[in-house]
Amino acid sequence: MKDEVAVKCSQIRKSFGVGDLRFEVLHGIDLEVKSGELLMLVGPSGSGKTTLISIIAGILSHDNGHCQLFGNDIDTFSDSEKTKFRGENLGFVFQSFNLIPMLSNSENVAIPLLLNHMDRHEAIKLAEERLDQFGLGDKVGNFPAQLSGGQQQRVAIARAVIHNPKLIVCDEPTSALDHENGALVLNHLREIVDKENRALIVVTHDSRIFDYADRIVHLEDGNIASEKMNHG
Amino acid sequence: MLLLAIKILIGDKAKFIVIVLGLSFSSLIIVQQSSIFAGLMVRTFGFITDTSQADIWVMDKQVRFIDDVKPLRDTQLYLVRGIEGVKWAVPFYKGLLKARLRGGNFQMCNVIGIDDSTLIGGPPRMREGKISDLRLVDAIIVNKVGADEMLAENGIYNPEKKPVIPLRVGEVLEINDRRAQVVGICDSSRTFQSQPVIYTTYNRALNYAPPERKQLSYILVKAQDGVSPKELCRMINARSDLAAYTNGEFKKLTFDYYMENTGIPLNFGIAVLLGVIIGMAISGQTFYNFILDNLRFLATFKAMGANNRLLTKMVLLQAVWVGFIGWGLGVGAAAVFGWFSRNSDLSFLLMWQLYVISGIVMFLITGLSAWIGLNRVYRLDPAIVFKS
Repeated sequence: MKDEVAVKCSQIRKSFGVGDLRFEVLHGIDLEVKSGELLMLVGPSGSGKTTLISIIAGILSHDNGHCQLFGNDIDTFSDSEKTKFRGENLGFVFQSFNLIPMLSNSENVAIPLLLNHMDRHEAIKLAEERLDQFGLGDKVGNFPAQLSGGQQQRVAIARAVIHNPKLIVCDEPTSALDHENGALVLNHLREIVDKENRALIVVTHDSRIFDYADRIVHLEDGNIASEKMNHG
Repeated sequence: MLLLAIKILIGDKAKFIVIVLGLSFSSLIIVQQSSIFAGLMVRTFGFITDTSQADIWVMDKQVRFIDDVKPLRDTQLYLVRGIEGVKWAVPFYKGLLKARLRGGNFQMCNVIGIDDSTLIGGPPRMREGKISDLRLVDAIIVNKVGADEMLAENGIYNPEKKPVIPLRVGEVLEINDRRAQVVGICDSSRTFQSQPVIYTTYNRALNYAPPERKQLSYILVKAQDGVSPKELCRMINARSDLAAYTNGEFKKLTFDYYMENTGIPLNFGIAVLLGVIIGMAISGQTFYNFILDNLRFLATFKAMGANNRLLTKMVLLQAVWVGFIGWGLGVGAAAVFGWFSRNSDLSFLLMWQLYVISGIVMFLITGLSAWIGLNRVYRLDPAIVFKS
């Protein structure tokens, strides 16, 4: 459903360390992301971008505030419920791809399906189809090390979207890529948002890709310093 | 996912090979050394195994093992024969005597004297001749290994490397300056000391042996039908100053003596321990490192929705898989070693228990590494996936 609230965070606070060494990374963040929206979180290193998406993705707990994903208050979930929820509803794209080098590209892409208990042959077939959509149909049996950086990131994106997650979280997806490959990756992500109505949060430093965002949220010292709408 | 766990394991070829080779080597050492030990220990009571017609061995109470002969008075044979429940009781001589060979060399031999009339206690299998040929004048039967090696012409001390000519039926030796003619060749279990075994009749054996006041080594006893050997042993022990053991008990007595009074178990134990340490040091450590190296991928699985239960299953499956392959190759190599050494002097007895024990050790090694590694996996923060 277009404009469904995918992420709703209010007054999120997060600290690390104890005693005198304790420091607050996020100082009460309010953030809302809708389905069909591509949101970019930008800001200098240490501004809290990665911490924020880790909290949104339910892999890091916060100290204060509330975070809802598609109306589910994930704060109330147990660890195993969070894990299950992530497996069904979230897709991840990592800065260093995190593809398993010992597995073929199709097996890497099939992982989320296998984690959701799909039959192996069916999962591999779907993974091959996804890779074909991403222009990697001839690379399904290859291993990640046999691909360029751009191709590896496309495999990682295919893995992130294979199980049709409602929310995709990308951490610096273009930092290891040249401009051309970075643009290719963002085109794919943009297409997924537009055609498949996913919510997409991209953490990035890369100003070359800002044009792809619907909205850019600038974080600084754990606070939202500014917000900018890109389209319409 | 479990199949992918195996692929991940095999995909890291260098580590996989090191782990498997380490476990194989460890398993090989454990099984091979234990098999040699077992073979050696079985040899200690080979005579008892070969002398299976009797149910019971009767001896001096001080005897600690089969070769620890403490002669009895001949009259004690009659005493035993008089005990209720005894079907028959026959004399048995066992002694180490020097034989003079054709070339002039001397060789210590295990001379076995069996009952003249019944020939009970004779060799288990004949290759040439018949046991009854022992009734011929000066007759002896020699075991095959002895005839082919230590009693053969040029079989011992052969500096000129002359051809070894086995002892044959019809040839003559001298035992303690008395004539002994070979009338048969038999098979017998290899002895612990590996000396040739010469069978003859009891009275002839006493003639070969240096004169002593008491010369009866053992009394072999058969229980009457319906009387259990154990029960009969109890009766003999109660009614005489002798010790009576069933075959199994006498084997155990001999086995225990070697276990307790020789350095053999310690030496083999150290070798086996070395195998375990090698397994722990090489394979256990490498498998643990393999888990650590894969923490990032495990964290990725965790972020993508894998729970600790699944990750545990994956790591344990990898441990079992690598343990099984390493164990299989190791015991396979040990079995091949045993097959090639089957005709050699080496004692090698590969018992099914050794397969089980080595398997348990392999799985303990990989299981322990997996358990230590899993503690890291459980504490794994999936947020590390967002760190470059």
